[in-house]
Order: sequence, then C-alpha cells, then structure tokens
Amino acid sequence: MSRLPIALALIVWMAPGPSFAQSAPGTLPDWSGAWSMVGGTVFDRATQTGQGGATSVGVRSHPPYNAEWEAIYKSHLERRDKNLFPDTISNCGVPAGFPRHFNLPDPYEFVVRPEQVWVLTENGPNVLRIYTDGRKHLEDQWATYTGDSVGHWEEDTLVFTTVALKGFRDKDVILDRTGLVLSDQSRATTRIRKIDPKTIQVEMTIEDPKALTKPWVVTKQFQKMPAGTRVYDYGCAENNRNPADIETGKTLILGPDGKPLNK
Amino acid sequence: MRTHALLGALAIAVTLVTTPVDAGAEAPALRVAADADAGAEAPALRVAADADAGAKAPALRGKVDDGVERTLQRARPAHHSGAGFNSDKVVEISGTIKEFQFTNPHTWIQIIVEDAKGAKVEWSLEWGSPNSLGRQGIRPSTFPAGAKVTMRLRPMLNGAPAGAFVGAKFADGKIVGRWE
Repeated sequence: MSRLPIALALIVWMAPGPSFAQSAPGTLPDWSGAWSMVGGTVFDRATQTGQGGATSVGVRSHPPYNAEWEAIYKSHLERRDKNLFPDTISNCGVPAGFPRHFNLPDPYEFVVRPEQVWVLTENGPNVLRIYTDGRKHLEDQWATYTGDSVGHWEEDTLVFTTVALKGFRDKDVILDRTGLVLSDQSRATTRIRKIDPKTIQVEMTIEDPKALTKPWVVTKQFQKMPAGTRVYDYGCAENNRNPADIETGKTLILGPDGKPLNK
Repeated sequence: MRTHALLGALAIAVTLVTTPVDAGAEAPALRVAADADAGAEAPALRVAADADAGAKAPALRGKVDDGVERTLQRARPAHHSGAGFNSDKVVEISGTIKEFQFTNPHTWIQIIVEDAKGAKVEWSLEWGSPNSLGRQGIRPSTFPAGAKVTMRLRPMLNGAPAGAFVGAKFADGKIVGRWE
C-alpha cells in the first residue's frame, strides 16, 4: 500500500510529455561544433556560374521574380553600383532575418535538442529557433525578421517550414548585399542534414506568390571548422566606423574623431 | 565590399605570410608621401560600389589564384562597404602605433605619421573582425602603442588618411599580414 504513491509518481514522471512525441525518432544527429558557410554571401550560388560569387548580369541568374519585383531588384542593383544601397544589418541590432540567416560569414552552431533546434550565428549574432515538439504555426502569427519555424525529423533530416516573415515590407530585410529581397508573403520549407562528417547542407524551397513566379530552391553548405574553434561576441555597435548615411544610404568611413572621411 | 573581403582574407593570410600569393601582382607597392596630397596618387580607378564581395570578385579574378579567392569568400565580414578604398593600389606609410582598436565589427589600427611638412597625421587602417583575427592568432598586443612600423594599405580614393590594412613590417623585421 505504501508503495503505490511512489509507483504512481514514477509512472507520471517517466511518461513522455506530449510535446516530445514527434520530435526525435531514434537518435538525434550530432551537429556539434562550429561550422562555416561555404562560398560567398551571394545568396544563391546554385544559379551562378564562374567563380567568386559574381553577380554581373549574364553571369548569375536572378531569382524567378515577376516583373514588378525584378524591377525592384534592378533598382537596388543600380543604387548598389553607386554605393548608395546600405546593408540593413549595418544598422547594428537588426536581425539578418530569414532566409539570410543561412547566408552569413563567420561561425555557425547547430544545437540539436529533442524539442527544438537552434541555429546560432556569430555574425549578428542571430538565433533561429525551430520547434520540433509538435506545435503548429499560430494562425494569427505576426510577421518578424526571422519568422516562425516549426518542423520535424525525417530520419537524420530536419524538415521545417518558416512563415510570418516581414520580408522587404519595412525595407529592413535583404537577402544579400546585392539587394535581393522577398515580400511579406514569402515562406520556406527547409531541409537540413549532414551529408558527410564535415558538411551540413541546408536546402531551402522558397515560395513567394507576391514576388516569385515559381518556387526558388537554394542550397547552402556549411563546413566543419577545426575542433576547438571558439565563437565570440559580435558587438556590431561596439565600434562601427562604417555606418550608413541615413540621408543618402552611402556607407561612411569614420575617422578617429568620429567624423566621416568620405562624406 | 571587396576591400572587406581582402581585410577578411588577410586575417587568414596573416598566419600564412610565408606563403606567396599572386594578389600582390595586381597592386604594386608604391611609396607615397604620407601627407594630405597622398590622395592625388590614388586615381579613382574602377571600384564597384557593390557591397557584396562576390560582385567585386570579377575584377579580382585573374589576378589572384583560386585558393586566395576562396579565402576571400570565406572570410568576408558581414557588412559595411569598402567602396571608399582603392582596391587596385597599395601604398606604404611609416610611423608610430597609437592604438590598435581590437573591436567589432572591424579592427582599426591607428598610426601617427609625419608628413612632408613635419606635421603629425593620424591614419586609420581598417582590418578584419577581432573574432576572425583572433582565431588566426592575432591579439590586441599585436600592434603595441609606441611601436615603429611601416604599413602597406589600400588607400582611400579621396586621399583621406585611411585605408584597408594589407601588411606591416616592424623595426625588428617582424611581419604581420602580407608583405611579399
């Protein structure tokens, strides 16, 4: 008799919580360590030819934009060519956003837990949380830079959808420094897996009924950095001597007195 | 952004200073007077205003080997534009280290240089992020205040006393960065 409460307590304690039911069939993959994105920060290397991340017309294909958004992108390229298209994250403190989260230099960390996966970037820094505990997207989720990501495991592959993205709605999210942008109707289905012991691959299928004429598939790879690699603070506002001129968009170079050397 | 790519690449290259690269061939080291007229020696060569290093890479391609270019791609910091720097030219200045700002998002080396008229001018040399440099062995003590040093840099297009760091040679012969 006296053991019954203990047994009941053990049963309750050992019972799996409902949130873990869908997240981890079998052993979760080991994605530990620090990882570095392969290639330049031109967003879509899959469509480029030639080396060096060239973005010249005729060298690299553009996303499958419709006419309206192709015109927007071309206007960004023209401003870029005049050094008048500031990178939004130069403001220091604005998240890179999704899908640019997978298009950054400096180390990445992929933290795998049963209930969620965190993709951490030193640059920024940024955090992408992917819930794998069985929850669904909120129907009334408001838009943010990084959006809302929920997913599940298919063997060793993490599959998740990302919705509720600001896109270029507020003019403060771009995909790369050429001025690639998506709309606030964009969403993505992403598959992440380790394709060999030293490579994690991220395949994003991006849909955007407002800006794209068809789904756009972009693949990014991340190579494992040497064991013991340390990841540090990235205090963008610590000593940013290259801010963007608010009036013109021109990137400034500040002298030791804080005044622009190239105004 | 190519300049930044170079900054980042140098962060990696710094530990490989004995490994020659072809990049130097594109930018013969020129000695210029470290005065306000230095900019006159920095003609406004084509420097794409593209903040993306990849977009600038074509100009670099053919002048550096593939290994270097991959390094550039891998090491570039996240943001800021190097469009104000003349990425096709390298100049030298000599002076005394005032301060090494080992800070994010980029490091800056402040150096006091005496110009042709004897006036002291403070130059600002931009380098990679302290994080990437730190992973390559660079420390805040790498450029101690008061040290005499000769610097190679890619100067600003408008002649202002600043540039993108390329390499440094100390009075005792120690080299940091690229100095081939």
